Amino acid sequence: MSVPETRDSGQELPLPWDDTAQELYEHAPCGYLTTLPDGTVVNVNETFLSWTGYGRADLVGRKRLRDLLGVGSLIYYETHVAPLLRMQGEVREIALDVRCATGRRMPTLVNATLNYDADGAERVIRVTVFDATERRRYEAELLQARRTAEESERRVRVLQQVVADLAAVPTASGVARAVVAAAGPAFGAADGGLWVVDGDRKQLVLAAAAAHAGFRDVALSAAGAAATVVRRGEPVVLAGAAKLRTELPEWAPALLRQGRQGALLVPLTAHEAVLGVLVCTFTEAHAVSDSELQLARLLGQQAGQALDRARLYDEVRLREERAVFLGEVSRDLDGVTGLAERARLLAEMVVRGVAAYAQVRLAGEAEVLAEAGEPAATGTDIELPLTVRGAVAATLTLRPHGGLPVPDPAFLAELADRAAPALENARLYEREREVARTLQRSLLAGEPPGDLRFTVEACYRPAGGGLEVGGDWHDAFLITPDRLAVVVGDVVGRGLHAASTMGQLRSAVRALAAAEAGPARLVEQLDRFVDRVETARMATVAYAEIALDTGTMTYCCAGHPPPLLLPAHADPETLWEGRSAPLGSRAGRRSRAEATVRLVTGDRVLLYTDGLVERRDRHLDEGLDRLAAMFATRRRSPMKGLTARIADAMLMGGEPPDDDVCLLCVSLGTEPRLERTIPADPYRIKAVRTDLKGWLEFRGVDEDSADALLLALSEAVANAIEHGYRDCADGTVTVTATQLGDEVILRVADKGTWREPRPDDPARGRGLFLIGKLTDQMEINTDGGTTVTMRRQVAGG
Amino acid sequence: MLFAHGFGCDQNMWRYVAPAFEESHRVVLFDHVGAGKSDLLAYDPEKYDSLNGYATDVLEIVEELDLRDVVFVGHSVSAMIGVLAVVRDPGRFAGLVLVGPSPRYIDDADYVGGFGKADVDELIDSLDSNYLGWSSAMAPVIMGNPERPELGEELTNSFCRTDPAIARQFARVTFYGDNRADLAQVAVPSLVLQCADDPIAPTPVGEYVHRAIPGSSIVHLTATGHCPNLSAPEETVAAIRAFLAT
Repeated sequence: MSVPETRDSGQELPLPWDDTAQELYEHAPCGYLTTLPDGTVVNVNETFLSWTGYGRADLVGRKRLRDLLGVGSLIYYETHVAPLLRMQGEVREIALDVRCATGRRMPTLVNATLNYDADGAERVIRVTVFDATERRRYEAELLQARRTAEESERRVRVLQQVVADLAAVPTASGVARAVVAAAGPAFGAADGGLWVVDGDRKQLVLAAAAAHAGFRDVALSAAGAAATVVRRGEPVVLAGAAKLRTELPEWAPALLRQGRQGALLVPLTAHEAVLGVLVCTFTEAHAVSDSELQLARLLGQQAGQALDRARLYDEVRLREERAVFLGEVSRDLDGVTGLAERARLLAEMVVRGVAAYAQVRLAGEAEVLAEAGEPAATGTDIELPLTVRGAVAATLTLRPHGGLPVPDPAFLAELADRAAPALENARLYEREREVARTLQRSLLAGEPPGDLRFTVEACYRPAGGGLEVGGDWHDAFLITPDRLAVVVGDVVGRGLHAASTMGQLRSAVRALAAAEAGPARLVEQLDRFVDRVETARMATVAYAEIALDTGTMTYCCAGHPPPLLLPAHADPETLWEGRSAPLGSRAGRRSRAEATVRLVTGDRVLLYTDGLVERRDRHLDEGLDRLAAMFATRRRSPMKGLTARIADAMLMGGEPPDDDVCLLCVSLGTEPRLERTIPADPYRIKAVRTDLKGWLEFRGVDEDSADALLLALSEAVANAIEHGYRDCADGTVTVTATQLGDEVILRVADKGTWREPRPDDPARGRGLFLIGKLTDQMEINTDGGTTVTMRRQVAGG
Repeated sequence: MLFAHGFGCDQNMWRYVAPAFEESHRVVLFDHVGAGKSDLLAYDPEKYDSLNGYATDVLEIVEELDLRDVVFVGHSVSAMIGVLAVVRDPGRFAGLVLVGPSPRYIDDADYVGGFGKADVDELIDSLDSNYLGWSSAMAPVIMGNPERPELGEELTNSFCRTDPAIARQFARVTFYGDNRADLAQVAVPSLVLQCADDPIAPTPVGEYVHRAIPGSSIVHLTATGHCPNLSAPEETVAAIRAFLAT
């Protein structure tokens, strides 16, 4: 067996053919280019020419390397390859696309070296070019795969971001904004808008949009992609202006105006229902990839669920707000009393809560009782009848804010249920208060008897706050020609009941007094009366009878503050005798005590209700002491206006009292100064004459003088009524009479217009002539009305 | 003098030009964030989504080093970055040298920038082809050893290596940008250096810049291509010197 001969490892293997360097260059398995430093081709091998299809003459001296590159490669060459060559003398494995003669792009990998000559100057660039078609295809696939992966990762990030954003916004409008904001990052959209399906599923209502004036709501019955998306629950891609016009007719003009060329409509779904549509718009006819569609579906689901959740949240929140609002309506309306105030507050609250404008009208009245908000606001009015016990008491008209949802019927019904009784109660309350006031005024208005043996002054101060009237009253009347009754009482409670009870008690007192049984018996009988009139129970009363001939006063205080006596020449005295419990109190014995005190001329007695002396922050004794002091300092004050002055002083600074206050002062004997004010009515002259006659008699004025003064008075008052008030029927005339030593001064004043007596007015001229004859001196002052002052010397007095 | 490199490489672009001014000027070189040896962690895609982000950096450098009477020399896209910086704070600058500037690369109506949108997309493809594998293999080496930059330099093509994502965004910002309106605001002496036969910034574009910047001058270099700072440093230096002398 023979062993084959082995070759020495270092031995040259003889080639079976001649392979010259030129041959090697021309047919090397790579393209080979030699260029000048500026890239001009000076040599190129056959391999490159055959790959690219160029002829040698096309390239050498005519083209530069960069002229053979695609644009992308060209930029890359200029910005990367050329600088690198110069900085490091060579570049390796550069991927460049070579443009072949046919226009085909040949992917290549290029190595290049820059050669320098002996002086270090750039001499030549040698370039080898490898066909990398297959490799680049593979790389392109890798690249594509990577881009897809990156894109997919980006989508996941977008989706995660959207989900995070959606989780952070509780309201439907917030969800809409977040979804619209995602349109750009998710799909590369220029912008977008979001429409929600309305409650009746009839319309798509714009919920959020990037500043698109042209976007409008769309009816779901309309043809086009928006309705289709809602019906099918699948995304729709619209590419190109024509598609936009046919599929989105409502929005296309605005979209095209803004250079939009495509749109992607994404349904927002939750529980298999389409709640809305996200519209992404594109500046070019956008080809939507499958993965983008997938993302669109996912986004639509996420957004739909968020919208669903946000709607629930909105609804709950709205209900809470409405409940709070309704609670406030009830509470705040209770806080004011007047009908007009309540109506105004109601209108204001409605405007604050749910409407742009609101007004309240009473049933059957054309006039607006109250309004609030902007009367020029546009919108459809909602007329809300406010019904109480089946009858419409008032109408609340409200105009919802444009663009906001109309308040739901249940809420409106609830609002009406709360507003109606509040308004109706205020109306009833006002009517009752008015009736009570009228009643009280009529009961208190009775004039005290005119008698020169005594003077009665009274005043009534209602409690502050404009609330209901109280049950305080005062009265003075003659039981017999010589017996005067004075009374001040206080009925428990307020309002119409109290006022009418007061009236009943007042009448009862007058009726019972006629029996002339005396104060204690009278009050005992009042007790029996109160047994039948439950509302009068626990009323208090101070009752006194004064014998005018003797000056004896018998009095009885049933649960009432003690009368205050101010003797003409001594300190004030509180009359603590004759006390017993309030009417009908059933405490202790049913018999009443009475006491007697002797009055002389000039003595004053004050009856009053507890409101005058009782204060929350003060002891009763303090109030009584204060009242006594006040009373004492006004010993010389005229009777006229005395009670009002005391009330003012006691109630301090004109502040309305907490409780009603009623005062009555009786003065025994006539006033030193007579003062009467009568309406400008000739029939009232007689009363003044009577009073003046008594006053003059009381003063012991001689009969001639008295007659003369009475006649002068009649003439002067008649003149004032006839001439001063010729043009005005409701003036008053004030008569005062004073005595200064042996001179009586009589003054008649009116506030009318003085007229010079004319020759053709004989009656008036005669009047003044007569006065001149009857008195010693007459002055006429026409400053602000007319005052006629007459003086006459009298005998006696 | 503050030298700013353009899209593609780093401050090494100025290696033949900057030294010529070291005697007469304080010379400051820097890498834009995302390029060269800059701290890639400082790259904020939002900030650098427009050239203004880069202009802010230029102004920060000027501020930090308290540079005054700055002559800003910007190559390629940095020419526009310089324009933005000068417009925002003219007081700091004494001159502006724009090497191969273009205010807008993409054609627009009558304006000829030289490129279409599709061309830019092709560039992005080209970038991607050349950066394949960059982020997975090389990034850890470079980014993980900022204190040992030589690790990165040993790698091929290191001067022009950029994170592909950053390169893509920079390319978009550069080539989709439109700074034509800013040119008229430049209020410092300006020089446009225009190469013959520059495929990135063709001569009409350079002349457009020259016309738009009030009082600017233009020098047409005999150098070809887009990088006279590398291909014809002497001519470039001479032109800048002549400008500085005026």
